[in-house]
Amino acid sequence: MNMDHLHRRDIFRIIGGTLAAEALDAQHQHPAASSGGAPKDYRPRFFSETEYQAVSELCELLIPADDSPGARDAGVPWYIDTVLLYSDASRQTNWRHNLKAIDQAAQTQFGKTFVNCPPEHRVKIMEMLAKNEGDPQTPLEQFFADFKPTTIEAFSLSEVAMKHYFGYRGNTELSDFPGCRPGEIEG
Amino acid sequence: MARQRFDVCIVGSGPGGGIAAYALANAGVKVALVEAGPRLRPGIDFNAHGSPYDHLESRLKAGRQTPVSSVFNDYAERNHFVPVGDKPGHGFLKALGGRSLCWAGHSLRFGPLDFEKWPISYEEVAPYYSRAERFMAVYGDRDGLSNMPDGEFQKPVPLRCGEEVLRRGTNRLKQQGRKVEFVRLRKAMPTEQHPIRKVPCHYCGHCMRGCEVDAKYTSANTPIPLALKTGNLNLFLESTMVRILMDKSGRRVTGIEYRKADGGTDVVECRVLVLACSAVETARHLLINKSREFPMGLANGSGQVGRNLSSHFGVTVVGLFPQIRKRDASNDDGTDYFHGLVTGLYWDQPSREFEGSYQIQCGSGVHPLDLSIRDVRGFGSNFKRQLRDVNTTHASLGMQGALLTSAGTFVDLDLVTRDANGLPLPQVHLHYTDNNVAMARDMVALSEEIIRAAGGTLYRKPKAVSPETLVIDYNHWVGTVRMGRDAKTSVINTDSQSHEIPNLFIGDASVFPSYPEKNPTLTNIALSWRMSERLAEKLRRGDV
Repeated sequence: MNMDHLHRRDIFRIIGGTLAAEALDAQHQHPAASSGGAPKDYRPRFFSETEYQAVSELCELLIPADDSPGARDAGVPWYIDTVLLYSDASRQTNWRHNLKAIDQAAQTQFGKTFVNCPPEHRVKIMEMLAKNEGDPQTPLEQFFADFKPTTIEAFSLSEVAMKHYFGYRGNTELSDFPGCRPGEIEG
Repeated sequence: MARQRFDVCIVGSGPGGGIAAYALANAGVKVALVEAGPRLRPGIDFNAHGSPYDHLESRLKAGRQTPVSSVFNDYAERNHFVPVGDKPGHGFLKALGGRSLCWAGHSLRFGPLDFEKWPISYEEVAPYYSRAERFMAVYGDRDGLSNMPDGEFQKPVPLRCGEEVLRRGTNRLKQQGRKVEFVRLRKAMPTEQHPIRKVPCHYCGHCMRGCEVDAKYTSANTPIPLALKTGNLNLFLESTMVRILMDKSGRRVTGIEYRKADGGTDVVECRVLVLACSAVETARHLLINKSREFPMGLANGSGQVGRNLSSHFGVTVVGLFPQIRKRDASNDDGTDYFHGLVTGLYWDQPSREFEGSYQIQCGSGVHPLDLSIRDVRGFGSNFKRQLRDVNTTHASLGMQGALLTSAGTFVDLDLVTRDANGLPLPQVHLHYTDNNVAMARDMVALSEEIIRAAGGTLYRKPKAVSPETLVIDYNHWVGTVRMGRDAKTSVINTDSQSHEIPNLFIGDASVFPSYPEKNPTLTNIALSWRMSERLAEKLRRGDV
């Protein structure tokens, strides 16, 4: 636990324990927890560099940077590499195996590995993975059913997505809960 | 083997056991509180604050299953039992405070109609409800409803915009003559200054993950510390009851044997034993402790121990409301997910389709830590926008109805699987009747009406309501040691005392003779407080 956090909680204990009245006048926000993101210049620990590039590209295709940050900006590839590092062997094998299968599909269709394909061909590969979402048939479609929720989780838990995409401040100490304010419901 | 002697030994430190320890210790009774789990430190052993990315690696390293801290997910003994035919996931939170650590705080009084099948009336329990609400710091509105009486409340917590549109929709139906009410939820966390509950709620929304600042009422942060202050309470942590000890007659408890963390066993001797281990575990222990006098299980001459099991079940319906899209979602946290409640259904005008009533818990808001809606199809910018849009504009309606008791719902012993102490695990049998299905269908239809009346569109509902689509609540078990006046049809009397073993009392929700749609904990606490007062009086009189 970092000092920043300890300090924050101690402050709140004091406020909560002895100065409740004063606390009710002030809003206390948790400061952003240390970095709140993936380490800079991260080198993958579970994936090989090549696999990591492919995973990063798949994540970015699912949640692209457009007028707001995408999966890479949020640190999703780091998150997935870390999760896989601690996953059981069968899930690890499954991810490795399917990344290879994606490359093979790209080679067969477009004569290049997935990351070396031009964007429009990568989209085609992604369409193939997502084809029967909800009722996956092929092994690659089944892989998508693990890849997608993992990526959504990684994205939504990131500071970048919370604050700059969902518009959510979250984890915030409030002296009063405002609820729905006048004018916030249209019509 | 060490032996220590007390007036009362309480087993289990959840909502019922915690308040019993407090009430008895304050009455001058020497109490031993035996808890199978350790003491968890709020903010240290569970802490959902801060950036999930900062905690990810340390949590994975520690073998945690979820990226965000959750007291139940991290510490519950999972798959202690799997109800026959149901999914895994059921567990016991073995820790000081039990499942009061992971409850959402919903504190709803049962009403006069709910007590009609009980041997005690609402009026008899009402003073204990009041006392419990004051002690726990329950917030809420005074709604004036007939069958969910008002209590002694701190100031209520406002609705989010999603729940507010559902309130408006529900009220439109009410204006058209529907018997339905929409109220703000009542929960046990201080919204104002309070003499005992010093730390105010700060509306971070992590209630069920475990309240890291200890604002939410738990047994571990209020009754147990206050009981320790009296000098009359001894805590036995990481101590698992393995046997109930009886005297030579076989009809009086003399104490319990418990397993310590180091593997050895010791004995707590007592004049009175209070079991408060939860409806499944209390029944299990009575069934395990068979004897010549009680061949069907301790205090089970009636054969009712383990019978009459109920819990809540439900389905979920989600609507989308574009009119709340532009609100400031900067803080959608609040006090856990549900802020609103649809209630007043079928109280005095029963349905022709099914027996009983249900309530609908209403929640909304963007919660990136736990996105409500993940089943958005596709990929790319469109998918990304839609993911945000449905989570921003959704409001959900979660049904809670009581499983109708039948010969098919009960707890008995697992003949094959044993726990680490060699004791049989419980086996829980569920049986969904047509009644349950009819009730859930009614809820889905009503929810769709509310969503339409609120100007929204249906996003998700069960494809077809069938026993397979119903979801059981694995924290709301009740009924297995039912209270009654007749020793042939019930296990305990109106003082929560065994009909057959005068120095055995029950302090958990297993005593409920019938179950309404409302959440069990407040009533469990009120009844356990009432039991403890009566027990203290009996001890004073030497009448136990």
